[in-house]
Amino acid sequence: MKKSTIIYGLLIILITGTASAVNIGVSPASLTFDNMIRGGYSETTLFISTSGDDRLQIGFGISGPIKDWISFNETDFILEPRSTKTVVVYARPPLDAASDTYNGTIYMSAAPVIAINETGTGLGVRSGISIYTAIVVTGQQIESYKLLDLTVRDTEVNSPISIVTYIKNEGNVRARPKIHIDIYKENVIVKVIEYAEAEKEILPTKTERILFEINSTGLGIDNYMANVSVKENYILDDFNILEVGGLSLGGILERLTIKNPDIGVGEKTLIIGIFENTGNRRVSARLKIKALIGSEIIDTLEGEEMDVEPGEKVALEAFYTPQKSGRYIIQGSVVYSKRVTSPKEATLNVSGFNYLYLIIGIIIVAIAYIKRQKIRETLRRYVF
Amino acid sequence: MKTLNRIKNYAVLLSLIIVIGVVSGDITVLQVFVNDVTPFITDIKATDPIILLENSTVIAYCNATVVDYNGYQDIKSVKAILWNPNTTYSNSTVEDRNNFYINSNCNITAGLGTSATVYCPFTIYYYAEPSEWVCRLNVTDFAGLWNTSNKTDITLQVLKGVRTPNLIDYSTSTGSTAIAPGETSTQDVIGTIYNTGNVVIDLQVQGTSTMNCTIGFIPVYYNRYNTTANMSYSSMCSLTTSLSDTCYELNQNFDLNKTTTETPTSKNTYWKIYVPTTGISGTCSGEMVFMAI
Repeated sequence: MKKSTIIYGLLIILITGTASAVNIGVSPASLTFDNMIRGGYSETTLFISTSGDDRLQIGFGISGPIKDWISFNETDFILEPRSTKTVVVYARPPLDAASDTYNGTIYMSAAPVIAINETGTGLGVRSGISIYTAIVVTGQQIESYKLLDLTVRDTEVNSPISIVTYIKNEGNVRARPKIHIDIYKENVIVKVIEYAEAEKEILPTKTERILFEINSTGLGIDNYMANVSVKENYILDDFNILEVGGLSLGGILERLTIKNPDIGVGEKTLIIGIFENTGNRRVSARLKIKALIGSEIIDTLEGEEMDVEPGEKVALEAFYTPQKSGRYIIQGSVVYSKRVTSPKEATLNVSGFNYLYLIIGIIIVAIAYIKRQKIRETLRRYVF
Repeated sequence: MKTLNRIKNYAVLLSLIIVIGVVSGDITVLQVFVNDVTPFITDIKATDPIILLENSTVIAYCNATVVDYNGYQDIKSVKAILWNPNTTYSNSTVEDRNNFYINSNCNITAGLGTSATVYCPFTIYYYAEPSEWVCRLNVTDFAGLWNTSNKTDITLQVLKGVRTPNLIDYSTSTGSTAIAPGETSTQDVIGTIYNTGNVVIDLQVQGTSTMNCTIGFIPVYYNRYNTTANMSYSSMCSLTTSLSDTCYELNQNFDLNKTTTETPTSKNTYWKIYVPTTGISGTCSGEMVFMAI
């Protein structure tokens, strides 16, 4: 008896095992957090990918002395079929850690969601990948940062000169970078700014976009070259000082999307407008929304204001909670510096709760129940 | 960019051979000849690091500005190769996908004056060798003049990837016969492991839950495995609840090489189970992990 029961059990395995394989990959395959100070901070990124057709439940575990020093921005999530995901790994050695190299392993595991929820029988397999991880703790503080890229914006006479920099902190302490600027006109230095200090701090291993604004006093309308140096490396870029009103304003709303275009009454949804500053002056922009059903304006709303640099493309957001069901036309435009872009549209379907269906459902269930009772009564009479 | 254009303009002037000819009477004759000038490449920007995707491909770019002082229209073609300099460079026109990629027709955009931007995409396979790679661009103009320029130290990152079965299905080991209580499965269940990354992998295994049955349970360690087929149950390794207990055959000697062709490399693991003599009936289910190390 037990023998046949086991056979049947095993046959069920065949029927319910739907996914055939688990595919998972991680890059890089090892991590080293070098030259960290006690109580310091460092971060890096893992790229997780799958080429399989199944949704995977991803989880993490850590072993070794670094177990309590490592954390993630996400530890438990679904990886969709044929997709990738980045996970940020943070290292924070404690204040009492001795200078040494500490080794451990990050274990990432992946299991098909369907097997966890529906199979329920057999020896289900999780696929995993180990990531060797080392944290090197040193007593030496290292202040080091590098200028990766910069742009010097054109400006108007007597207006500040904006220098947009991308600086990476390559040391192990927080950095507040300083930049030195030499401005040339036809190969002759016309202005020197000794040091301008960033208002923003950069954490170790991170790259930040930092804007420096320096005054243009003494510089007339002309073309200039700026030699911007951060520690030992420098980058050249040229810029213009124009007459007042010489900088143009411009912006376009590239597209309007709704994060969840099918919702119910009272549910909140996110409206996103992709805006590009096509002028050469910084603007403050915000998304302005009209919600229409047919030609009737149901609601108007506005999103938060955001500064957008020339050439920059940003996602402006506004949240909307419709109080009425129907098929909405969401019309959005961006307001920037007293100007408005051409509008873009998206569709939002809002479903309401229909009490008529509920009443019909209750009636059907009631009729079925009464009929069942009648049949039972008839059968009982027939038997006895 | 404005300065660059200015420099280019000066260079154009310098590249002109000006011959002031005969001056006779009130008539001055001025003749200007423009030589063919060798084009050159500047400002190479490449995808760095190149991050591969498991059992798949990614697009990596090697873009640049090409300059020809005879005008950007004189640029005939730009070819790019991306290769691992730890291997012997060849003039092959065929990609090997492990260490050598080629784009013989980069996209040259409409330029401005003497310069144009070129876009050279490469489709990189998951088994490309992890190393510091080099991108070399070669520009040729319509006069047959050419130039090359390299971008070095492009990191192609290590990718550890694996494909495992999602089930160790003992029913395939029984055929039409059942495993009797107190007996072991007669045939191996094969669990095939594929290397879908670009480094050699070993394996660790772990039973993460007892096999619970409708009535009773089968302990994790009644599951056994090996890398050799048709071994007797008694000579196979027991699955345990700890990855570190994994047998040498998997833990250190599995050595599943990285893939080098379109078909992923693979190796089999072989599994058997013992069913306790009493207290078991119904459906049994458990869970285990294949960990690529």
